[in-house]
Amino acid sequence: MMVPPGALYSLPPFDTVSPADKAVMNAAGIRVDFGADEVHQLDEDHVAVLWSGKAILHRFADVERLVEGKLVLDITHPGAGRPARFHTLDAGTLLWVPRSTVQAVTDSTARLQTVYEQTHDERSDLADLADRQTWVGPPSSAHLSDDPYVGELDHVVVVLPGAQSELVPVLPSGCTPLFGDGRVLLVAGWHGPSSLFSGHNPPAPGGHAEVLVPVQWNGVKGLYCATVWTGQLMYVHVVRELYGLLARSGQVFDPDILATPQRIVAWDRRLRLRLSYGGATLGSAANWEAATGVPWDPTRLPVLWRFRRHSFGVGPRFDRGCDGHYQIGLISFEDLLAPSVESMDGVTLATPAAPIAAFRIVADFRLADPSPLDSPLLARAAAWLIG
Amino acid sequence: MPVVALNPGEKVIAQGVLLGMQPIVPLPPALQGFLSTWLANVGHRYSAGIKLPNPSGNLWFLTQGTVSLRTTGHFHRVARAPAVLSPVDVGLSGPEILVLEENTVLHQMPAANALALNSGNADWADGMIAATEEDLAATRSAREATYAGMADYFEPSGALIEGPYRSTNVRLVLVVVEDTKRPKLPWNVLPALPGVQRWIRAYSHYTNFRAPGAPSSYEYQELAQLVPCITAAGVGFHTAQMYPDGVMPTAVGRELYAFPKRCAEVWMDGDGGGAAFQGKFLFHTEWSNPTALTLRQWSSELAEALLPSWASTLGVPFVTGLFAWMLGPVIRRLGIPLRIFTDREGYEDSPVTPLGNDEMVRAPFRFKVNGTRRLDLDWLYDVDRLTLQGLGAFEADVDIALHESYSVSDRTGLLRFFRNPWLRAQVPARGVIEWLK
Repeated sequence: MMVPPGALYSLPPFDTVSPADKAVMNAAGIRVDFGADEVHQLDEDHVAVLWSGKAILHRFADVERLVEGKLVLDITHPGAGRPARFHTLDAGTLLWVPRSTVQAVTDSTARLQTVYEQTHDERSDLADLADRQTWVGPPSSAHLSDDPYVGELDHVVVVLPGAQSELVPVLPSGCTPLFGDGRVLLVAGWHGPSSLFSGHNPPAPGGHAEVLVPVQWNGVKGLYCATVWTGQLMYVHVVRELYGLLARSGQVFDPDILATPQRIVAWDRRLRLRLSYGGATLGSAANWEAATGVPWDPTRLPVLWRFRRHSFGVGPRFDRGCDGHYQIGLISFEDLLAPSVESMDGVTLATPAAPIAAFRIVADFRLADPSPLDSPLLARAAAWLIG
Repeated sequence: MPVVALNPGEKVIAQGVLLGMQPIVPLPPALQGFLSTWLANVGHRYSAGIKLPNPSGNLWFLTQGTVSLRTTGHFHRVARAPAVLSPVDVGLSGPEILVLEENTVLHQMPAANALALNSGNADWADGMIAATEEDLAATRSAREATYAGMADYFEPSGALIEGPYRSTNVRLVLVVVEDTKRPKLPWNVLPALPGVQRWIRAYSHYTNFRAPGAPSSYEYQELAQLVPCITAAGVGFHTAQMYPDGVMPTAVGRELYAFPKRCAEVWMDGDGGGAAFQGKFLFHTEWSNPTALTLRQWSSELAEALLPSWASTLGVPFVTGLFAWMLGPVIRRLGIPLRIFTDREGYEDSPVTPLGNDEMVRAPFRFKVNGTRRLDLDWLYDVDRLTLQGLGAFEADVDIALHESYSVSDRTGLLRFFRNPWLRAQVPARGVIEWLK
């Protein structure tokens, strides 16, 4: 099948190619129209051009990124010499052009430019990580800054009955679920560009996803947070160390770049979550409480988690466990919306259940240094004195 | 072609290094000779600390020394000679090259010339593409290792796989240094030898660091500072600075062992080692002439370098060597424990001790020593300590097991209390000092 008219002409690696060579490439190219949720394998012999549509590119075993047309996928080495694959998100067109044809007709400056751009993209994460080492304190301590994490967030919350055992965390002792149906909340969202640890540049925007369980713990009704996925490597460190949350690396996409219908995609090796949501209607506090069991408070969202900071086998006070309870303070809500979930799937969600409810929360937030509940100062001092 | 340099760098000839660079190697001999001569004529030698702007996205050839590359004020990476500083590094908005090392030699090629060469000479273009692809592959490999490590070492619950972490064939280089003032120690750590301002800067290269049952291992290099000390838990080394060159060792070290790790760039080879953090030099060492020593000789010489002259007069290094000789079979087969202490951050509203929030942690290393060498220490440079002196460099090949860390200041049982009454006796005085602060 021939490539579509105009294809390849305006893509950066090919924009300097002569008309005759473009004709050669068009003739050699194979057009593939794909639908949503298809997996296509890249190989060493072809350069793949995503002409239209969106896909998740699996470059290595676990390194994945969102790509959308018009884009040349790896003109150099797919997966540093290894085949890569991509998972389509919606319908679109893919072009397969033999690598030898591309290299024969493309101008060396264009090829060089492409390699430069890809190298720069790949480096950006590592350079970003190096930049964020400023969050760690002076050489004498190397402790993380205790400054609160502040900014704005845009989160979609989907309430599901808990048929998906992989998503339901093992709750700590004394923590009881509010519902008998194993209800969980899947949260996926984005911290906006102004999000940062107070006084510490650069800002720390980024997506993250969470699995929350409505529970009661020490008399407090809240949402128990077992795991956080985030695509920001330094953020993984910070929330683990500073807040005790078990964050892990994953990828969450900014809903803004996924356009209409708005969607959020989040994944790692164990969870893949894709939400599509459309026309939102105004949610209500009553709906929120009915779905989550947690009373709606416009100033704070009670999120509970097992206190794990420094809890990895380092001393008796940690051996007995430090279950903690923190709250994320929401300074102001702009809106509480109830989007309709259009689709949801995931590798680990073999039989996704119909959502009970869905909400969208847009707010300013402030995550301050938390404090555990079960370790009064006096008890600690006594423990230290008697050994 | 005149070079645009803020620093009136000394013009140098470095033709030999240029000839070996990847974009030049595949060129026809005639063009190769012409180009290298031309570039050599615009090569300049720069002093450390000089910043070179690159507004036009020129190509730079680094034939000697080390530079830090920055874009719009943010650190990008450290480049060591020989290297082509491609537009990836310096062609972006607001780029800048910070010279880190004395006698750094850079050659500049204007962007127009680079473009002309690129479009007019296929060999040059192929060489540039190959050089950049090599860079791309290395960057991707680093990213892949980071993400694979994150996936492999975090359990489904999100917890890190617990230790003991082990690594075989670890290359250690211990540089014994002395200054007018030793690094500051926390309140509950005393110097092992009062009045002696000597400590160790340790380079290490771990080739296969892994936890039991982990699906993959990872490789990293590290620079650490070890100060001989005495604590309530005994004699050992205190560390307040550790600079690994990877994300995984930073995560594992900070979380499991409470080590004060920060991700940096570290390198060590046969001629020396160095570390840069945030694009600035921390420490740089050059060594040469590795000489094989027996374990007894090695231990004795290391002790002699670390201890003051009066201890040598009393024969302490000889006794140390004697112990090493007697315990040699054990050290080689079962390993020898090494106590590393560090202070772990506490939280403000729940102090661990009446004196403060921080507490001390011991991370018990166990070393099996396989080979020992002495190195001739040729040169060292510390950005914060210009009076630092090197007293010797010692190399060892070891297998390492890192067992579970535990809190020293929490484990203040009766036995420890009475064993270290002199340390406990300081608590009220230290408390008053802290309160007065």
